[in-house]
Amino acid sequence: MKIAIKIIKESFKVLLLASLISSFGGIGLEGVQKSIIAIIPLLVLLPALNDMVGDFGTTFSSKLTTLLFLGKINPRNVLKSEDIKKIITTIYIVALICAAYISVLSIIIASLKSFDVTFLMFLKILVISLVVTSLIVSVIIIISVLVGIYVFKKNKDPNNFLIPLTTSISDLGSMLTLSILVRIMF
Amino acid sequence: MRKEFLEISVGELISVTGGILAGTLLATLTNKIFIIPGIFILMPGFLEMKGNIFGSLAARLGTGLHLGTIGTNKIMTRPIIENVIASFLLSIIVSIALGLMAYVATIIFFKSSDISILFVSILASIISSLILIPLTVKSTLWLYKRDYDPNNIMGPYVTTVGDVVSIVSILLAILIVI
Repeated sequence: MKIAIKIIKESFKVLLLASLISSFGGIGLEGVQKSIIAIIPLLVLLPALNDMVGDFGTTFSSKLTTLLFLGKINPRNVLKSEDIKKIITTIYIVALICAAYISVLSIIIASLKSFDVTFLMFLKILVISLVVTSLIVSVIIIISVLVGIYVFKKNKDPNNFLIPLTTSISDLGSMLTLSILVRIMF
Repeated sequence: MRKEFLEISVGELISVTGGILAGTLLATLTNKIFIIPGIFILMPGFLEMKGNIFGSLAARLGTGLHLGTIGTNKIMTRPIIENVIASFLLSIIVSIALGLMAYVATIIFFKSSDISILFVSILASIISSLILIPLTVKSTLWLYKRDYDPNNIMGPYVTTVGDVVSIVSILLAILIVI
């Protein structure tokens, strides 16, 4: 049972921390539970938005780490690197396309479920999805760069820290931002 | 940049479509799922946990396959069995913590409580693990056998399938507990 014990020991703390941070985002959602259940497009959007922002955190962190290890970027001047600029641009474009895509899809599904969808409702859902995505992706990029360089300079592998950190921060950030926007807009 | 754009966008579009499927399921089952206080607090952590535990399981199996420490012909080998046991136990331990967290948070922030949320969390974790563990192991070995790199495919696959399975498991657990 050596392998199993080693896996449990190494993963336990990080998994617990990541899951608990995500639950804090859930506290925000519980506060606007009635609105979310009543507005079907929001409910349909929720798991996709939650996953998507975390996925971009994982993609950016792993690419940043690879570039650091390959020596393709200078840790003192990460944001001046052409490779990093390209990755950030690509991630923003894909993130905004996906945010619009899930908004449209959630509206289509809601109307198929006989939910009364108005143009104003569609705009609100689109704005919520775009604002949450762009805001949290920006926060994740800043945190990944700052923490990634710090950890790399300490001769440790940033992958082990950045992936759980960015996914849990994106969960917490996206759910809290979503809750605030729902309170304001609905 | 174009290749990068295509790789990221195709994977992500498939992944968010799966997320929308999970959301549709959630919207269809609202009257059954949201009857216990604290489900919204449990949900993000529960979905996150499944992705993290089974994503890591797939990644470890992928590394083992590349290194040759795991073979594709036999599933019941010591490294695979130990990986499966570790993932299952981690899933149970974290689900207990999540259930307790949801229970305490509903008391503190919303002045309502129902201990059923703890049992729902544990039971849903057992049900989803029983589905996701064989699915993750078999898919990883199957992909490697067919010359695909499981590391490129299993991450989004596990989070997407994990979301749908987790929501169905939470529903089943609620039906059993209540």
